[in-house]
Amino acid sequence: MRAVSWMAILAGVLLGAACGGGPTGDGGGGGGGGTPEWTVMVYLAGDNSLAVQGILDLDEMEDAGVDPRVRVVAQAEFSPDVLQQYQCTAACFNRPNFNTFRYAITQAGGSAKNGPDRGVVTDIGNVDMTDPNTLRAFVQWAQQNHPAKRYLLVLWNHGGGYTGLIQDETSAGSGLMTVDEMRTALAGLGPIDVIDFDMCLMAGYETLVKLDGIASFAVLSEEVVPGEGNPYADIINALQAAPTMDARAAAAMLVDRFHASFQGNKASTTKSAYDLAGLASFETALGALASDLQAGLPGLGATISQAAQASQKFSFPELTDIVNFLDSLEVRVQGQTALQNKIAAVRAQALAPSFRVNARARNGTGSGQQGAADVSRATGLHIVLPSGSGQDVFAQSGPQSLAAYQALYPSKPWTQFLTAFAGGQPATPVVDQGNQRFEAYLVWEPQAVPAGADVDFWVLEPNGNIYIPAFGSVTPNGTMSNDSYADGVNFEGYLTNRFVEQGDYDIFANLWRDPQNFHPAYDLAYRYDQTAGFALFYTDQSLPLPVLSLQVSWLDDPTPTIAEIKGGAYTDLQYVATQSYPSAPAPSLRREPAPGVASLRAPRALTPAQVAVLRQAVTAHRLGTSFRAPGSPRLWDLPFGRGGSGR
Amino acid sequence: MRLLAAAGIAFLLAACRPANSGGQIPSPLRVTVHDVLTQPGLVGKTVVVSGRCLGYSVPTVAAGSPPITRSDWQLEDGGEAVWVTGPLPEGCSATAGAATRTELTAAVAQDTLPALGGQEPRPRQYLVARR
Repeated sequence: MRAVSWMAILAGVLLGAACGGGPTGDGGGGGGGGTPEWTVMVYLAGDNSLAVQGILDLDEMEDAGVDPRVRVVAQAEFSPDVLQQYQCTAACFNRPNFNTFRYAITQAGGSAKNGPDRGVVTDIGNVDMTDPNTLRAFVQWAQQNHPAKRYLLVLWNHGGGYTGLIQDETSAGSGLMTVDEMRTALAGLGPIDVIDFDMCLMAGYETLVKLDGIASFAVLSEEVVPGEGNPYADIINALQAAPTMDARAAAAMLVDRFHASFQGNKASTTKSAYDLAGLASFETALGALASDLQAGLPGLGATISQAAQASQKFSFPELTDIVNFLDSLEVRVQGQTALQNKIAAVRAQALAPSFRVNARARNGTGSGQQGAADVSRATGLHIVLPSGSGQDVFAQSGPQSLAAYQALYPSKPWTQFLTAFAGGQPATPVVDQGNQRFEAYLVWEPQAVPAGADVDFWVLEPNGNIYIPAFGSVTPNGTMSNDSYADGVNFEGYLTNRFVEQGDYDIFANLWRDPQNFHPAYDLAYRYDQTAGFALFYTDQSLPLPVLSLQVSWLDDPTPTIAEIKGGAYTDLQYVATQSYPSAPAPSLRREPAPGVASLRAPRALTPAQVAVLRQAVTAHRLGTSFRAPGSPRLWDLPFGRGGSGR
Repeated sequence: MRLLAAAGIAFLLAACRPANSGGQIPSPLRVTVHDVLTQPGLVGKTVVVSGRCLGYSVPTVAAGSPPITRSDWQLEDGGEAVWVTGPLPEGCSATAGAATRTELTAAVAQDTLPALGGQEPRPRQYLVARR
């Protein structure tokens, strides 16, 4: 018995030494009170732009205090280049050099200064944090030296979804660890109860696939995350307050604490938790849908593309919220019962409590106008699905290419569908405007503003969708101005992207409300050079300025059509001009003659569903209330039919 | 009424061409990255800046941590860089810098770099690119 014990200890020492770690006398073990309930293992890769945030997060961990039932250990390093900008040496974070170190927080009292100062620190040399062997060795070290009943592993740094994660500027430049390497690093290490990605964009189906059999629960973000990342003191305090909480509860708690910590913050946030035991059922349903979608190609291609384009997207545009895509697709395949059943099955699995443990999303106070993303339709998990429009395509090469995706997920039905869909579908033709981008604003009489008149700029883009500043700030081809009514100004419009889809961009003027019957006159100001002044579409051609009123409303027409709008049938919704991008780079702004509209191209019609949504939107807008119920599609989710390509 | 309206709009647009004041079409200032970094008076203004996009995981040139999100990127010009929060411009990826220069219209904002080492907290300008 004694011999066996000594052999076991010797084996442990040798294994630890081989892995670059080993017992270090740093206060590990059970702490005299039995096996701790949790060990929190933070893999803090701060040798990059996030160095200062990493130091501050170590302080937050120390501020939580210590509890023998909840161990907190970290492996960290910080960028010398970034800290040099502060005229900082390693002494700024309480270390003698910039080497990687392991750290167990064992002393109470909160953070005394920036960096590790509440426990034993072990220098392990300057290692490559993107090397899967480094990650593996850290987890082994933590499990051996700080064993617990349950483990929470936090991967802290940059994340890019399926394209990789974790950067180490000194050791690996801009190269990231691949998701395959992450799986290799963590495979066979024994149970990791919860793995939390304190980084951007990792809440993807593709991440969960790589965690299958590795961890029990995953906590991740669909969108980019604020620099502060996790609220570590809150999270550790919550574990200390209820140390026997199980992994599911801990995963849900991580989401809630993260979400709560950013209330009022400029940045938008998303965070969700998934039970990996539910992944198989989800994948089965997804595989069945993928097979049907693939079988429906090429006929279904345009519909899938439109649905993807209208879905919640994230900072990598090919990342598409799964449930929102399903919602978007479903309304476009009405009558196809078999396909709708497959869609419903995937949605049910995606939202099943046995899979999706918790999901939170909030728009930051800087949403839209101040750069933060609109994540209001995020439901917890995204999937790679480029719509094929504009920049929302696979890259020709590199980690965001179809070839890279195929290499990472070679046997998945979704990969086979993507190969047929993205590989077989021609990309939407685009026009490169260079720095001569089309920009247009409706401008109306300034006196209309104090009179309460609300004029809106509508643009019908080549994809068949209508976009309005009051309902969002971006379109696939441009960026909208602020809503004029909200800002109290007498103009609104948009600036197109450098690359825009070929086709026609029809601009309309709509009078949302006019309580004093002001009947505002308007013009269209436009330009192709952002350093030049604006031309005036009507004034420069000595055309009479059009006037809006509520006298003859399109809302009173049960079957309004684009042709009727262009023909001048309504006084509150008027056609202004068309910007065309033909295949040759010769953009032109023109006004189509009313009688010839239908003959110039395939007629477009409003479906009853579209009219219903527009009526609801207009009515709610005029009453000053929100028309969007939670989970309902946005106005521009519902395309106007264009020559049969739309609904 | 119609003549007055036409005259009013024409006047409005003529007036807004050289300047940018409330209630008129924006006409952003053209500045350099160095200007953004060194001129606190630009805070709150919309500017046009030219430079090369550096994705978030290329070596860091701009000062301090990314101001808003971990995926904020840098606009570099002449060896200086300013942080930009908002969508990456076309042709720039997270892990690689852009091959060509880009022109960005963005608002100038300011935050405070945290105290570290012997340094006191200090203001820093950055750019907010609209979505």
